[in-house]
Amino acid sequence: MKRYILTFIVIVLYFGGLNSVRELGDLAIVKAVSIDLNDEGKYEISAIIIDTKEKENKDKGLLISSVGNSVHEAARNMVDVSSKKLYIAHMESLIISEKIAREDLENTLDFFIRDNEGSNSFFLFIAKDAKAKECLEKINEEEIDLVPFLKSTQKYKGNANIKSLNDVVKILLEKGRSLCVNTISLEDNIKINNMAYFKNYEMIGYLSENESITYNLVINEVDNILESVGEENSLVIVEIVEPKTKVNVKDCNVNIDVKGVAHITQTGKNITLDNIQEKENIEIMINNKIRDEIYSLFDNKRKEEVDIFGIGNLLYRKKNILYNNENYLNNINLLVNVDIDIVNTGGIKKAW
Amino acid sequence: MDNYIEFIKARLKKLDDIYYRKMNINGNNIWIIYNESLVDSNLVSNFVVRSLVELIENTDFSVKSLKDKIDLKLGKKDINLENSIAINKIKKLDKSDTTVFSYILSGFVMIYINSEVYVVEARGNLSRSISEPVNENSIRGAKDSFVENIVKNIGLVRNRIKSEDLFYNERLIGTKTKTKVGLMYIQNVVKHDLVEYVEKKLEDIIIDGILDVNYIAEYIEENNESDFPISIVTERPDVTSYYLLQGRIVILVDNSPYALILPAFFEDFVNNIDDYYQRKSNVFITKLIRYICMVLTVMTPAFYLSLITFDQESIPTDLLISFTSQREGVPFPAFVEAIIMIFAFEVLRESDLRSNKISGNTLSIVGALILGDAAVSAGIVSPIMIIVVALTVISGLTFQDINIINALRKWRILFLIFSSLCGLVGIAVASTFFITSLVCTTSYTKAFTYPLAPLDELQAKYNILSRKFIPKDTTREKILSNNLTKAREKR
Repeated sequence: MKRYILTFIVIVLYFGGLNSVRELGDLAIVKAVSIDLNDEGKYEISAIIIDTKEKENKDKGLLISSVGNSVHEAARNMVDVSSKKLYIAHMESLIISEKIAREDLENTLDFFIRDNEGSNSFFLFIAKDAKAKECLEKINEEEIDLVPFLKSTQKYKGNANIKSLNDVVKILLEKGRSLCVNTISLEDNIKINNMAYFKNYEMIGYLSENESITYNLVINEVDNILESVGEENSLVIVEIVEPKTKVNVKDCNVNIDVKGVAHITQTGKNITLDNIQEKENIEIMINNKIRDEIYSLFDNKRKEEVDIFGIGNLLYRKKNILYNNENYLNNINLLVNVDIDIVNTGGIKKAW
Repeated sequence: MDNYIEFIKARLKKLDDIYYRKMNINGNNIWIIYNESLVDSNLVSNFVVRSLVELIENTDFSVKSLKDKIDLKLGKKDINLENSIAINKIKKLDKSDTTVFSYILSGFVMIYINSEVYVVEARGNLSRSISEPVNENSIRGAKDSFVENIVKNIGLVRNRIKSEDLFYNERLIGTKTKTKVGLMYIQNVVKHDLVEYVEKKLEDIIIDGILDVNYIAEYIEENNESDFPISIVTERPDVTSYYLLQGRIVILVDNSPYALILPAFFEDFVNNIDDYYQRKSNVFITKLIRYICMVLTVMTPAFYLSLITFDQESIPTDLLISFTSQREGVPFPAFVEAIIMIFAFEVLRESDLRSNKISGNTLSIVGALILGDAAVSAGIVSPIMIIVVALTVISGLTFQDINIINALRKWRILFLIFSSLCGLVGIAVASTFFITSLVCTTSYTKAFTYPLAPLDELQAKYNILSRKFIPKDTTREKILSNNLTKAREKR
């Protein structure tokens, strides 16, 4: 018995410092946060707090907001409107306004990175053409779960990726790599939109839908994408399943290899699919189309000195001589090689 | 009256259940003295009295010479009672021998004839008949269990092991109870130093009464401070035989329907002999479930507590929301809530064990209502806590031995206290203590955690998660026996 009392005292003395008891009832579980920068240069933070009181309309949370000179100050000012301590470890999404993305992303994310409570596995969104708070209000009102929404967009469409805040910060800190962040827009309803791209810590602009898909294809973040070639009667739509992309650097040559298999999902009248030549033609058309898209995305962004595919980072890792050259984007030779196989016609008729 | 009879009567003066009968057959004074409550009176009248009458009368008529007749009457010639009474156990005692009292008080009939003292066994049947085991259920195993009569118990074991190597030696322990304590082992399998150790410990026992095997267990165990039972107590003869064949020692105590088996290892309490009565390939999952249950019954409340008071990050969001909304309105901290529920359950269990069967059922229903529904709607505890405690309790029921259940209960509360102090770190610390405590326990000089520590890889492979395929099970465990090869006689 003495032994137990002794160990008990030792535990209390030595592990007392670890004591950080939080009763569940004292926590305000935050579901989503939005940050706006208003015209006076003050930060406005809004948060959806999950309502845990037992009542019928349970999913709808409580929206509270506060203003401060810095993100942390604004977060502190939440005390004025909430009786409980905000608990952000279970946060799902952070929505920042376009203005913050263009001007002050670094300081805003700093607060979340430094906070030791959060797990930083939430997703970052930029509110396109709307105030972040308005988006948050809509999300709360319509009881939207952004995370499954984002995941299904990523899986079936490909113009969004599922990089958590930790991944985003990792990309932000890496040299020679441009960051792309998911966006949401507020039309009649919340919509996951195309991606926004950054240079250093500042947002430059938005990618188009095709560009977003191409970007995600090159960084290996798509599960399956639709691609169409031909017009009207010779239209062919294919679904490319789990394409794999490899980027290799050798001297000043950069090779992008895309490989994958595709199923034909829809064809026009003129497409009979009865000989192997036709199938090969379609493959060539698809390969060319994807290749052109990659080329054009790279070239467009090169003009703005944005290294969209993170080639600079590859050069840096391979200790390539070109990296020290500030103008490396103009000196490299991009070679894209796309190899998509059609394995399945999907039709009722017997094919080739 | 004879001096000897007076002496006996004086000694047994206050014992009103002693019956004295004086017979006079052909001038011979015969005294029959026995304890009514212990003796079967049919046996006395049919075998003792009738035999005596026939003996004396026959002797009388068959005597040819007058001298012999006179000698017999004067007590000069022996009546050979030992050859004449139709009861098996008969013994002639010296007049000065005081063991006559213990014979009378253990169901013998004393016959005093011609100044000679005989005791004849005529015990009544006081023990119940062999019935099904009450505490140790078996699906496919034998359905008999030990009774309070040690002779029957020995028979139940001998019935299974018909070998002259199965040694049994008996001694009387207890100055007042004079209880039969029997030591049983298979001579050429058991480790003899262990037998010597136990015999020496049994010699040294000085006590007025032995009522149960646990009295013996506490005398012969060497470290009584351990929480864990270091000997197995079973009511099943097939389990007893199984352990005897492994080379363990069995102690039987008269008036106790349990056998004490030693040494015991931790895995013995998790494993069950029923595993040997079922198909081998399915034993793995059964054993896995038991080990998981062991962890669950010790750790569930502690783990839940540390999750909801320290490490909320580790719970999926939806579950956290559900926990929070269930805890809403509960006035106590989670630790107090857990203690209340565990206490309520322990009270229920204790009252269920002690109460008679009729009110026991009522109690169960009341208890279930209080624990299940009323406490929740009164806002004293949250529903999730009831799930946690229920899980703990149900997992605990996979163990049969009351000692191991109590040991695990103690550790459950210790784990809870540690986790309330510092969450998952506390559980880690408590686990260290738990494992240390397990490893420090020895069972009669053998390591309690065998075969894991000290590691015996082969045995660990078989004992912990599976069992041996019976036809290939040709060796005994080194720790229990020096005779490693199981004898296999060829036809």
